[in-house]
Amino acid sequence: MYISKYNTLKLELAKCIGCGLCKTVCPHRVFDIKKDRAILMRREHCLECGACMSNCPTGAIEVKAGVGCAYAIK
Amino acid sequence: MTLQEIMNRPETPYGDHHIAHLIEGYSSVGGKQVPVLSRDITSKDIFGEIKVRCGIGRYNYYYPTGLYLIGEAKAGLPVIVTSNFKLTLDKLRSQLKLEGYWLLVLDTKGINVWCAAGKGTFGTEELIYQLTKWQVKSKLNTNSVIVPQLGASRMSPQIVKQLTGISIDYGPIRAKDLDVYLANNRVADESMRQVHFHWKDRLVLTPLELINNFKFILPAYPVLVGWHYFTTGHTLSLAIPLIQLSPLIMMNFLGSVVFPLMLPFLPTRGFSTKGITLSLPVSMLILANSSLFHLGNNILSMLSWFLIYLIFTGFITLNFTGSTTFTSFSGVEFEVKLFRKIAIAIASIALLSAMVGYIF
Repeated sequence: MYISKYNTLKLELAKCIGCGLCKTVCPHRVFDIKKDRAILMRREHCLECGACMSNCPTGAIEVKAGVGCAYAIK
Repeated sequence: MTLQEIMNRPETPYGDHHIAHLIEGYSSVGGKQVPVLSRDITSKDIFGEIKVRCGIGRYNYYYPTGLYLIGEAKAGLPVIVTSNFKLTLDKLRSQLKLEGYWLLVLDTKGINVWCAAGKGTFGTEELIYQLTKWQVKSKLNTNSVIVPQLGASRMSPQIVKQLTGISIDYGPIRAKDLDVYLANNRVADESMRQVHFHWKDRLVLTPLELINNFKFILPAYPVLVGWHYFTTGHTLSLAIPLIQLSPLIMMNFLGSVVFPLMLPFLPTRGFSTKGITLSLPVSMLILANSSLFHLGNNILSMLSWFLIYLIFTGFITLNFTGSTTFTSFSGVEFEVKLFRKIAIAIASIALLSAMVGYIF
């Protein structure tokens, strides 16, 4: 696991319709669907790829998506 | 964005020299000739992989975008979306045993799916462009395409459906799971959806790291020759600076090969700090045998070298963050900004130490 203290992932439950796309696309299985809503099971494993945000149909997820690469930091 | 805006852009032509030997024939699809590719991995493909893994022609290992067929054309064949990185194509061709399938190749500028997704080249617009250009819905008579899960980062299935009528089914992470995924009616189990970073995955990255990191050592040679001339008034044997730099070559090996292999076992969360824990004992061993490396016995110049070994290893191991499957942007940003400040401070101390050591 890497440095997760500054992770920007946010889930707005009020907008979530429980479609499950966030769970499908996440490569680190951060999300699960319980009682028709997404929940953050493993937030510390999030690498901020942005797949969840991009696929969410209601804009319930926000993350400052980028690549975890030293060369990319200005 | 409208469909017109997406379609209204120039296309990048890619030569087919990397795949010409794989074309077995052509299949006519809606008046267009679609290449049929073989499943064989030839020696040309194997050498091609070795070369790119060592950084040779790494950014030119592409092939033309568009539609391809593997196997025999018939109704109901799945359409699998992929990048135009030739190595990805080879993994698909060799690992997918399915009798027949279409490949829809996106313009990722010769970059693999996950990196291209992060950059946005493997994304909603490019998928819409290729789906529309090749009239996939009507010509291949399909309502859905399979997109690799790692292609999801910049993909909006809702917009793709809206503009093309095509739904996205997210396939597994790894090509080798595609057969089971398709046999299970496009359902992936948890293990197929979890990305890994096993030791073999880390090992294949080491040649490129080792070769790329050498370029940071090369300029040190003329700098050392110049330093010797400045401090002694004449040019020493040209071999001596090489011997003095051999510890840096060892640090490169530590940071580029040993570090990736030992990654899960090294203490601390930061990559630069993990690298430093690895180089600390080796640096001390080197300095305990300083005469062997012509580093002198001046305590200040030894301190200078010691600090240089630490910063160098920390720097190259920090750069490895871009090659992993789990580092986040926010975490890397934090570590890089902190490391830069600390590295500048340590480099200043190293330089000061070297100069004071020379003066006294």
